[in-house]
Amino acid sequence: MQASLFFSLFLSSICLSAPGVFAAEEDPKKLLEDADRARGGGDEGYSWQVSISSSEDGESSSTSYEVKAKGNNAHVSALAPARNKGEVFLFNDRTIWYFKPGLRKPLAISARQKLSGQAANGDIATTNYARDYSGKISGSEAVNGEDCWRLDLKAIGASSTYDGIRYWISKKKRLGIKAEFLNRQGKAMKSANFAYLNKVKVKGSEVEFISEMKINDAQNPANASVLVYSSPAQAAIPDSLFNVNNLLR
Amino acid sequence: MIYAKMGLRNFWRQKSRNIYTLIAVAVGCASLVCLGGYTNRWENTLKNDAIYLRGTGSVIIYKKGGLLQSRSLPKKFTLSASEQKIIREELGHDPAVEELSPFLRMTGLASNGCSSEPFEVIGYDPQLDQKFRAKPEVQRWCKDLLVYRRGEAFAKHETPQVVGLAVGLASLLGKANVLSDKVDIEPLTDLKAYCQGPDAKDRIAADPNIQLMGLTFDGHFGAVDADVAHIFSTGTTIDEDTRLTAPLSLVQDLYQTDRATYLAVYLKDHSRARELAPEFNERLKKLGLELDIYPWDEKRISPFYVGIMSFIKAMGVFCGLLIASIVALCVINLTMMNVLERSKEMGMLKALGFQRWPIVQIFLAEAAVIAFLGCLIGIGVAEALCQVINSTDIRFNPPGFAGSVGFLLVPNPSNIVQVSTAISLLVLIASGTTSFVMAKRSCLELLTQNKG
Amino acid sequence: MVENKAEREVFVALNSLKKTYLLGETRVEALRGIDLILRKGEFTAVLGASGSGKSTLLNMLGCIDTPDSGQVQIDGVNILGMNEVQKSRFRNEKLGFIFQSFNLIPVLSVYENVMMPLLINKLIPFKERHQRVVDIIKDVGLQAQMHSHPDRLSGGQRQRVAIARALVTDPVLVLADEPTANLDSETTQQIVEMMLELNAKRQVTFFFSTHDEKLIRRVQRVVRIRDGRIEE
Repeated sequence: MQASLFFSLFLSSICLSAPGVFAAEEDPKKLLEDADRARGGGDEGYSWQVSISSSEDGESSSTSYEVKAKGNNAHVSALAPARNKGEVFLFNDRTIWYFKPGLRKPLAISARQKLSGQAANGDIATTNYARDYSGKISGSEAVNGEDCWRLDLKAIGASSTYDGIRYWISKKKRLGIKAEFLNRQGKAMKSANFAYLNKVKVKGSEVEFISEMKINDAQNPANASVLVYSSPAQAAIPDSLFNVNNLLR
Repeated sequence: MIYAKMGLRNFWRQKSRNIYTLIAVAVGCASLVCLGGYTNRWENTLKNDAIYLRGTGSVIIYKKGGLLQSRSLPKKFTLSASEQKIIREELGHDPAVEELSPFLRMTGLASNGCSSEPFEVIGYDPQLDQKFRAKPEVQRWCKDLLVYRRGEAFAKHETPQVVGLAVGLASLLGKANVLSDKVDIEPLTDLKAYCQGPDAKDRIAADPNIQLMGLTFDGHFGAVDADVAHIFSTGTTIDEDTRLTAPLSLVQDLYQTDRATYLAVYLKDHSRARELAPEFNERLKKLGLELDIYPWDEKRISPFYVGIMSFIKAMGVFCGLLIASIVALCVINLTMMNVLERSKEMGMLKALGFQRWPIVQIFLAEAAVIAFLGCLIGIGVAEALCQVINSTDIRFNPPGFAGSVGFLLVPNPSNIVQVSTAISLLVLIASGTTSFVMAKRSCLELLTQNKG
Repeated sequence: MVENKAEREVFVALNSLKKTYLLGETRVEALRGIDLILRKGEFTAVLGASGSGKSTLLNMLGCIDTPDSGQVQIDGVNILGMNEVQKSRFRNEKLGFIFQSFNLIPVLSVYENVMMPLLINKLIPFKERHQRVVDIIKDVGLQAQMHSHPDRLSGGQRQRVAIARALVTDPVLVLADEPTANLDSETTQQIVEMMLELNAKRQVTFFFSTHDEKLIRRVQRVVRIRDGRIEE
């Protein structure tokens, strides 16, 4: 009896500690695809609103956007403050265009560029970690009482928002719970915690959708941005919305 | 008087040997004058570049901590409109101040419609820039840097929606040949064709229109349209790929602010900058402003000027000492021979009752003639050499400089006086020391020197 | 013309003057106890062969060299007690030198060469200096060559310049080291005559060395020196 208990504990300890065993059990790419879906990624069309409240070095600001995303494309238009109304961020696969009324041409901008506070341009729209990063499962840890896989992700191309991400995905819900965004040297620049209180109907069934992303600066945690997602819905979005030439008219 | 006559006549009498001393002095003097001319050229070029073309002014006024933090926290570390007004009212009428002007320096992205490049913008008053560029000292010393590679000054454009691109940044944006021909730009309807079509490169190159984007002081995105007014060289590789200039109003519009990163104070006499910077700080502190005020030649303000000039001056001192040592050795050697040959004359003078100092004076008079003539010839040779070198327009690429610069030697009068004084002193000391040592010998020893 | 020796005051007194040189490893006893008295205005020749000690004796009198022992008194002053500055001043104000090879400054004119010793005597005003120089040049008969340079003059003329230079400061004692050695016999006679004239006119004490026996006929007093000893 004792021998069989010891044997089962031994096996489970191997399962929990050896990455090779995780790799055999879980496909990290599949895991990322599932997690991306709850953050607007995937081939289905979604729309939602996101408001960003930032507090940085004692100064605070807030902005809000309407996001329409489908596949690798997204159309993000500013709702507030009033003077930013009409601004559009157009995500065409890996290219991001910025446009505001009065400009003769849109600007190609980087996903890494700071948008507001701690949030980068790449954080605002859909998340497509499965496309932009390659990674492996490097461990298993509990985050906020939730049993998670820990994934070490590396950027595939220079257009990715971050050079690397340490990403914790819930084993049970297959949702991203926490992330640390790394610089080229592998040092954490900022960290993010995710909440999924929103629900969205996909193919008749209700699935969880991101409701909050809180990003803190690693050096100065008081510098933080909170992205609150609201009104998520699956929507039929025409492909013409993502045509950059439409911005010129 | 008789000593001077002796000096002149002895010089002529011993001309076969003195001619070598004269050559040594003349060559030393000419080398040092040329070396001084090289240093003087760079000193003046970099100084006028820093003060007038890089928008530093003679004295630069930042909000306290603004030098380091004005870009990361612009709202907190830049000068508000009211602060600028107080400074203007206090210093604008100071008799030592010629001009006072606000500058806004920020970072952002410049786009040609297809790709974007990061920039560091300097926003300034175009009219004042025009005035400074017309200054005789700027025209004289910064000839290479004044010339726009293409286009013309902002002041010649009616609209403030214009920018200047550094050569490197223009090249990165595909605008290196912009403004070369007047072309009609058709309204853009297909961005993909504009950026990727068969004639995309030419179309981008011909189109002077670019977009600028930056984070406003409130933390939001700001963007403006602008046309390239000119392409210029910053002169340094460090900022050639990022520097962008624009009228202050355009930069303030882009960042949606009326604030300024700093106020540049242009003094009538730049050499008073170190004296006046703390005085200005005291005066403005009394008006309740917490500021950091620096003179233009502070390392943190003009690192390029300070770095390059430290190097050039160190090299100048090293070469100068080397030249001076060679001249000194030559002069000592030749004077020693002269003095030894005339030991009997020295002995006779001692017998007549001359003490050491009057004897040394006789040799000093002779040395003074050599020093005077040597320096005169040296200065003449140096002037001629400078004229020849400057007229040949030799160009070279110094490390850290963007593009080539003309190799110019421009000696200044005070430097010539310094060099002549130093060389003359060297000759007088060499001659004085040698004759003094010799005159210390006894009268008998000197009179019987030739007898063994 | 010839006065009694005893009537004149003693002007220069040398007592037991000794001087030894080292020439390489050889000891040369140049002076072996010289006792000599010169009276004011006396014209004395010291006669001796080469190496007899004539020049050394003149050097002692001219404060150019110092004896190993003995005493030198000139015009009541013990010159051995003087420092270098005092000796220089003494030489300038009280002594005149005439050298065998003239030792004129080639780049200066006759006038300027004669002026040289007066340049360092700041007490004499310029006008007086000038007058003295002109007068002495006339005395030596070179007024026509006053602005000539030494290389334009004959040997005798050069020595006249040297004599003028020696006398321009109104010295009390003129020392001449073989002044005629580089001159032909006719010029030698002229120079000696001139020195005698000046001696008579200015009452200056002359002491000169020579090895020329012919000269001694014109001289008041002859002192012979041999192997560092006086044989009067």
